[in-house]
Amino acid sequence: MIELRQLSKAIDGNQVLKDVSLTIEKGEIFGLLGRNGSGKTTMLRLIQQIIFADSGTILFDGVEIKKHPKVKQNIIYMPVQNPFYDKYTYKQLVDILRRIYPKFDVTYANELMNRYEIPETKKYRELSTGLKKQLSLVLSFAARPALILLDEPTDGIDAVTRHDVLQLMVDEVAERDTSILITSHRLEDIERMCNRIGFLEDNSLTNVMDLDELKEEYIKIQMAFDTDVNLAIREQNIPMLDQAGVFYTVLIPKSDEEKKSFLRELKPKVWNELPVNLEEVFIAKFGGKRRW
Amino acid sequence: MPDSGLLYKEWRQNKVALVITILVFILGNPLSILNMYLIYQGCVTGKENWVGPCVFSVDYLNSSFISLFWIWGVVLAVSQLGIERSKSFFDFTLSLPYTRGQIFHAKFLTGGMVIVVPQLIGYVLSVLLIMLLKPDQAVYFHNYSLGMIIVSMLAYSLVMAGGALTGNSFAQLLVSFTVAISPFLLISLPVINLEILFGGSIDFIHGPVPKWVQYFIPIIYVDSKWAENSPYYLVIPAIMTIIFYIIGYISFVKMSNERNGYFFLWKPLNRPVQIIVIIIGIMGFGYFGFTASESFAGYLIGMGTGAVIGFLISYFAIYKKMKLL
Repeated sequence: MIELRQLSKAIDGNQVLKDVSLTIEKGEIFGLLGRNGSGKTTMLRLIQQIIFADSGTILFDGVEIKKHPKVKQNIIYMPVQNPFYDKYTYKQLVDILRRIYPKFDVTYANELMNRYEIPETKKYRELSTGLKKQLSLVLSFAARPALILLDEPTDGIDAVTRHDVLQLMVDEVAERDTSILITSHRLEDIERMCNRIGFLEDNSLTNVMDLDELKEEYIKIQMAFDTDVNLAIREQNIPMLDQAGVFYTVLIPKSDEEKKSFLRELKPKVWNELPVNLEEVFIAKFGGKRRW
Repeated sequence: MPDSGLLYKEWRQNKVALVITILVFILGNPLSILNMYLIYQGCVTGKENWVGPCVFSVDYLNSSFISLFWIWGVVLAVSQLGIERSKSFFDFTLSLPYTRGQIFHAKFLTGGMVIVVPQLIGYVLSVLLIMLLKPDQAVYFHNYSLGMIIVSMLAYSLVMAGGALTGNSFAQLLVSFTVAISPFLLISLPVINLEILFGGSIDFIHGPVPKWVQYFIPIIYVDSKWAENSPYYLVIPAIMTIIFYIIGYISFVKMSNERNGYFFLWKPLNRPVQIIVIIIGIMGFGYFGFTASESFAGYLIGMGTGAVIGFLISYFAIYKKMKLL
C-alpha cells in the first residue's frame, strides 16, 4: 500500500527524520507515537508531499508519489486544523472536494452527516472542535481514499465525541479496508484502534511492532522493600513508573533476566508481575531520559 | 491545462477578489467614457459656467481610474499567494492530488483570465460606446486600453513571482516593489554615489540612453505616459511578464513551502539580500544627505543613517518571523 524508504528531512537546519522506512498494508491501522516535536506531523506532511523529503522515496502501490501526485486521489491527509475549510459550509466543501476526488461519494457523506447529526448549513469555523473533527473525517472518508493520514484526530474533543470519531474510523476500516496512519497523544485511542505502532525517537522510527507483541515484550513489576532502594534502581537505568513510600512499580523487558535478578537481589517483601498498557510502555521509553 | 477541480477551488477561494476585479475591468473603461460624456453634456447644457469650447474628448492620459487597473493585478496575486500562505491554506492546496506546476498554472490561469478577458470585454463595450457617442477625439484610446491589459499582466506576474519566493504577503509586496524599482537601485543609485565621491559625471547615465531602455523598469508603467509611445514598446512589458512568470513557476515548484512565516522561503537568500538592503540604505540616504546639505559631511551622516535604517529594516523584515494569520 504505502511504503516509505530511507526518508530524511531537516527543517531549519535541524534533522527531524533520518532514514525512516515503513510499510503500511491494506486495511491496517498504524499508530505513530512520539513526543512533541519528534517529527510525527512532518512525516505525514512528507507522505502527502506538502513538503519534500531531503532524501528517500515514498511509494503508493509501487508508484512514487512525488513523480505521480495523481495517486494522492487515494490518500487523504487530515491535519490537526484545516484553516482552508473555515469559511465554507458542508455543501460548499462537498462541491469543492467532489471535483478534486473523482471517487467522492456524496450519498455516503450525507449519510454520515445525518448519522452524526452534524449541521450542514453552518460554516466550518462556526462548529465546535468535536464537530469540526467529525466533519473533517466525514469528508475524508467520503473521498473514498485507500489511505487516511490522521494527525491527532481526537485532540481537544470530549469523551462521547471521541468515541464516535473512533467508531467511525473502526467502521470505515472494517467495511472498506481503508488503511489509516494515525498520530495521537491519547495512547488509549492508539491502543484501542491500532494493529501496529511505531515510535519516533531521535529522528528515527523505532520499535515498529504489533501492539500485542509490544505489550507482551514488557512486564510491570510491583515491589515493596524494607529500605529505600530508589537510588539502586535508578543506577541500573530501570524505568520506574511509580514510587509511593516503600512501594515501587518498575517496567522491564520480559526477557531481561539480568535486571530481574538484580531486583530480586534487593530482597523485595512483595513481588507482583503485571501486564502493561501502552501508556506505561510509552512513559518508560520516552520519559526515561527525563526521569531516571 | 490545469484540472477543472483545481480551477474551481481557486475560484471559490478567491471569489470576492475575482468578482470585484472582473466587474472593475468590464465596467471601468465604459464608465470612464460615460463619465467623460456626462462632463461634456454638462458643458453643453450649462455652457455659461464653462471656460472655453465644449469638446467631447476621450483622453486616456487624464483618466486616472483606468490608469490604476494594474493595482488589481497586484491584489489578485497577493490574494492567490501571499494571503493563501499567510492564512496557512497552502497545506491543504499542496496536499491535493496535483503537481506543484499544475497548482501554479491553475492560479496563473485564473488570474490571467480574470485580467485579460474582462478587460477585453470592457474594451469592446467601450468601442461600441465610442461608436455610439461619437466623441470629437479619442486620445490613445486603443493603445491605452489594450496596453493596460499587458501592464496589468506585468504587475500580476511580477507579484506572483514575488509571492512564490516569499513566506508572507508583506514580503511578497516588498520584494515585488523592490524588483519594480531595481534598475534604479542597482544602476542609477551607485552611479550617483560614484559621482558624489569622485566628482564629475559618469557619461553613460547622462548620455543619450535609448528610449526603450526605461521600459525595462516595471515601475515606469505606473505613469500613463507609456501610452504616448509606439504600441510596439509594449513588447517589453510582455516579455517581462513572461520572464516573471517563469521565475514564479520555477520558484513555486522548487521552493519548500514550509509553514514558517519567514521572509524568504529559500533561506540562503536572507544574508545577501540583507547586505544589499544595507548598501542601498547607505547609498540612498548618503545621496539625500548630500543633496540636502550639499556637503560631504552631510553625505557621511546620510550614509551612517542609511546603514542603521537599512540594517534595522532588513533585520526586522527578513529575520523576524511574521505571525501567520
